[in-house]
Amino acid sequence: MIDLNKTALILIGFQNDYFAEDGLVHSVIDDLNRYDQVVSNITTLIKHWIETPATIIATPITFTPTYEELVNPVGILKMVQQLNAFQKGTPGAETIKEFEPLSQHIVEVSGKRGLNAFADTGLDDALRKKGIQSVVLAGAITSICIDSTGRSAHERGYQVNVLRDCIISRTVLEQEFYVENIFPLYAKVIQSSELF
Amino acid sequence: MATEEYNKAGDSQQSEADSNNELQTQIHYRLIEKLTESEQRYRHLIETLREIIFECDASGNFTLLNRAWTVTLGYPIQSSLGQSPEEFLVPEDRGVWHQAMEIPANVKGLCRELRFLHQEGEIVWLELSLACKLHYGEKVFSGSLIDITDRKKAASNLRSINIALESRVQQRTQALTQSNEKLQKALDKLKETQGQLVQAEKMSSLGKLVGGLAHEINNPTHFIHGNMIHLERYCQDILKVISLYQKHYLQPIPEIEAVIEEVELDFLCEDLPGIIQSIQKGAQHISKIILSLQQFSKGSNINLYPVNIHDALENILSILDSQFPTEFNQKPGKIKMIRNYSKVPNIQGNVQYLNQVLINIFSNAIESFEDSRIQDRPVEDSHEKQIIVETKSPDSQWVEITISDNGPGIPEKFQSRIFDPFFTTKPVGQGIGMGMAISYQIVTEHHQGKLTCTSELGKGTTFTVRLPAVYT
Repeated sequence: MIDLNKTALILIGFQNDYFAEDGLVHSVIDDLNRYDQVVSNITTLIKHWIETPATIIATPITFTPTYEELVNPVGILKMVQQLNAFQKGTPGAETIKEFEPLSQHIVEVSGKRGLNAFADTGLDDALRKKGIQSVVLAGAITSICIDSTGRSAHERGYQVNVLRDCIISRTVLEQEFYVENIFPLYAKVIQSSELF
Repeated sequence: MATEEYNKAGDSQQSEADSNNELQTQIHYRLIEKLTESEQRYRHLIETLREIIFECDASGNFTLLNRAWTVTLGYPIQSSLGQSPEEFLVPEDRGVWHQAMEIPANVKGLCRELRFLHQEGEIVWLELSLACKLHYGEKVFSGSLIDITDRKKAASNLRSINIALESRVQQRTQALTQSNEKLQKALDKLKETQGQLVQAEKMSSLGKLVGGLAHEINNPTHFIHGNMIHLERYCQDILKVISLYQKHYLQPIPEIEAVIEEVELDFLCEDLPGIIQSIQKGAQHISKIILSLQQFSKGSNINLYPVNIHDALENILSILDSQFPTEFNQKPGKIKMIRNYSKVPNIQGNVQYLNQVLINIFSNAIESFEDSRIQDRPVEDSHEKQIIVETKSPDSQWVEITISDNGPGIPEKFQSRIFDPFFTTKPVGQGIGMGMAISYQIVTEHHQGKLTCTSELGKGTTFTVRLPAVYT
């Protein structure tokens, strides 16, 4: 049983460049059928949790127009730079519109420049100050930011939970592989409905 | 969104850990990317196949299906997963699926033809190709289902076409056989008619020739015949005179005695009456031949009237009985006469002429039993000699008289010549070979009937006389 006083929901990558139809890296994700469901599920959970002592943190990724934050980027970060995605001040970098009515209940921890929401951000400090012992992860992308952040949380001593119906991946294969085989190595995989 | 300031992770050790974490994530990302590419390639291949590709778990329930499943059978993939294929089969083929599931692990290529039910109720024939392997100790099935409905329909159509074709061939063959039979009958009829025409022509030509010849021979024969009485008397007179001379002039002069000796007068006087008799006999035979020839050459204008054929037959048989008394009695080894008469109408005929025909046929039959002397006509001595006379009316137009013997039969080479003039198998001087020719002429020309002969060596001969019926 999760103690909501000591639990934080970490929202990763719920930004237009991923989730909006005209998002710059929207096409990276093949598993498009689950988009609406994921957004609906996480919105429902947030609506429930804003009534609780649980902490809700968003960790948007943003870059300056010159992408000076990225040094010799590879993989998806290289693509992000090439596509000028998540550039601070652009619509693509903004949080998805479904969160707008709830934004006052969401604490934003900025500074995420890579895959791991803990790296170069104040997330760990925030969690510790709030006495958080357990984190619940949701967002994009399963095999990249979710896994990287999850492992980092685990390494930092947090009890990690991954919401299988609130994370989005590039492919069904990736989703199923991580949910079934990777996350259970260090985290508890749960449905959002189990939390309210 | 609430923004709060927090200290970034400044610890160098933590920073290095985060950096490693990012690197590992990148590695995972690459691996997943490659894996995804590979999976997508194979998924694309599977999804674009026309054949259904499936996997089943140990319970035999679908765990994987490609798009062809929906295209072929109409069922959505999501609702089909987790169900057993047998739920989509027609009940009769479910047992086949059950048997297929007993395939041993690591066996590939089991093939079965199954009938699936389309979502809309139509039957779809699918060819199953099944393989089984062990996955973590449990059987996993995979395979393909190929739509063979068109092939089945084509095969079925082909079978129907073949059956129809065979039926048509049979009908055609039957029609051809019937036509052939008709043609054969027509050909036989034609041959028979041709034979009759040839025979008629032969008879006609011969009739004219024979008529002329008979006329020419008749006159000198008359001279011979007419003078024979005188010749015989003159010879008797001369012999009488010679006898008296010999009685009263016991010693003739030497010159006469020398001639008497030279001509062997005693032998001459003794032989001369015999020679005269022989000439008379010969002349009589010539007259008989001429008579036959004249009869043969006569026209067909004879008087016809209703005749009871049974009366005619009985008259002939009584004549023959007196003529061949020993042959017709019932002693062993003699000829037995069997009468099988049916109720028949009168025939239109001339008794005198018909008698001649019947006598000829009966005589030939009787004589055939003696003809075993002819080398190639064997007959067993032990079997009972018999002649069967039958009468019947095959239809309202005809009366048929059949005379069969169980004699030695006629060799095939002679059968076609039976009715030819001057054809005989008897020794020279015993028959002139006109009997059956005249009979044929009497039956066919004078009575407008038919005369046929069938014979088998060692079994016997049958003559059939067919005469027109009359109902007056």
